[in-house]
Amino acid sequence: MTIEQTSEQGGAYEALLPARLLITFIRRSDNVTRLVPFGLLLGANNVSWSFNADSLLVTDHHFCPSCLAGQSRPSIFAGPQMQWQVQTAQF
Amino acid sequence: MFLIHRGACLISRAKALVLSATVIAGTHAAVIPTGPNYFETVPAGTFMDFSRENIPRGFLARVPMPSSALSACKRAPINPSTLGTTDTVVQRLGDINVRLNARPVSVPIGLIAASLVSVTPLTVTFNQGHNPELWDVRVSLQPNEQQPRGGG
Repeated sequence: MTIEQTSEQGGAYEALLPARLLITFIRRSDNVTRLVPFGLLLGANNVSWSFNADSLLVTDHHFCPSCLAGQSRPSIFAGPQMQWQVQTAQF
Repeated sequence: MFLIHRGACLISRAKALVLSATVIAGTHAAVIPTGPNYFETVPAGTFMDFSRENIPRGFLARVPMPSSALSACKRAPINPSTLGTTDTVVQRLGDINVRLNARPVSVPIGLIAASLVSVTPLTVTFNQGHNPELWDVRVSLQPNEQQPRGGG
């Protein structure tokens, strides 16, 4: 991730996230299972981050990776095979 | 004598200004240590496209993928008692030194946990559209595989 601080409260970053996923398909009629390895590369731009996250947010060292002014805010990681919208987890 | 005293005062003020600027700049610098970013998936904006060629024939559809945390009838989050609604963890693989309005800095990242399930089953058809089947979809990390590093 390439990150910058643009205010006292936080800033923005961009990220490239490669992943090796395992997709499990389970047929409802008989629970037959098929496993498909799935590699992908996701990118995110202008993701807002901030310090001093809400105490209800699950953060590490008060760094909120998807927040604006301490409040959780959705961000999108996207690639050709997947769009993944995330926000900072909560207790 | 007065001029000497006035000059000394100006120098002291200049030193104070420089020191203040240093202190102010110092308060705007911070270290974000190596560690995890905890995310929950937002179902409304999350989907996988299984129409690509790297999915075996028969799995041709676009299916919405929810957060296990936000779908009450689906899988539980990774560890609700300690991680709340977390279903995805991205690790910062180095310390980040940020300073207000300084140049951007880069640090590698890596996916270390993911747990998603489909909101609705995927409909797979065979025999030119006949014999539809319903498949549930789960997404996790490949076991025993080191995840590649990302950046930005």
